[in-house]
Amino acid sequence: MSHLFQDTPVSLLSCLQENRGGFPNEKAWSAFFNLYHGPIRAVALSVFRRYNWKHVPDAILDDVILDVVTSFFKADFSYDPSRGKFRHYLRQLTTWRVKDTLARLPKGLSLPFEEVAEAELSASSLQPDGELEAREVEVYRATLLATLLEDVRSRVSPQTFLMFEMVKIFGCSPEEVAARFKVKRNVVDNASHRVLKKLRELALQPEYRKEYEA
Amino acid sequence: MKSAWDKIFASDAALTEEEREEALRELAEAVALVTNLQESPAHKRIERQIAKKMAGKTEDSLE
Repeated sequence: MSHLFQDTPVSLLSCLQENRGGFPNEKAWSAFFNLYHGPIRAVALSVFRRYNWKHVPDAILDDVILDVVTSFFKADFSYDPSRGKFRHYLRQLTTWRVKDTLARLPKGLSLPFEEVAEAELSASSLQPDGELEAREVEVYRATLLATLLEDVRSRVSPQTFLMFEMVKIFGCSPEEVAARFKVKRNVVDNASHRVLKKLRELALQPEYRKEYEA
Repeated sequence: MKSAWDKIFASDAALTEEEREEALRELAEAVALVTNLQESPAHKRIERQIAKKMAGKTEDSLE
């Protein structure tokens, strides 16, 4: 697994919230994009499908995702955790960018879809979890788990995390990992235990729990 | 039924061996999903475009 944001000292969500209104460095947008590309893509495809457009060309989808990420980091970055889940904010932002993209298409172009009434799209763009498509939820939850794991990575030594990752994520045997690191088996077991403990501690943070729960 | 979150982050004593294995499998699947997309041509293509756009924005903001 590549290192998504290994040096980030706090969770990405907190980091972004604290950074509100500030200009992002490359690390910030790259960390955000590495993790949230999946959810943005899933939502964008879902919104295009609401317009009955099932096979969106790569170039158009790329433009939407690019617009979402860059507008997310504009100076007027407006996510307010007290007003709802980040997931819903991201969905709304993506919906707007899809609509912008559709509005920019050349007039007179024979569109491969039938436009859905504006009111219908607006009403459905910020629905509770149960209304989100299963794929969006699945991708978003996977992203949260990956975010959490990267959060932990930054809080333990590289060797400890690697031992955990090899045994628990990639399925290597503890004996094999111990031999590779030239340590006793119990060192590997302890490393896995420490990382799991840290995962549980972080998972109890409200920002994660709130985002994960329906 | 326990959610993935419940399974992954419950104490060891609260889980059966099967649930523990399921929890780690879900974590591994999440990592694979994110990593696979991150290594895709589409990701790299969009990342280059964002870098270009963000660099332009930095120059604008310094003027």
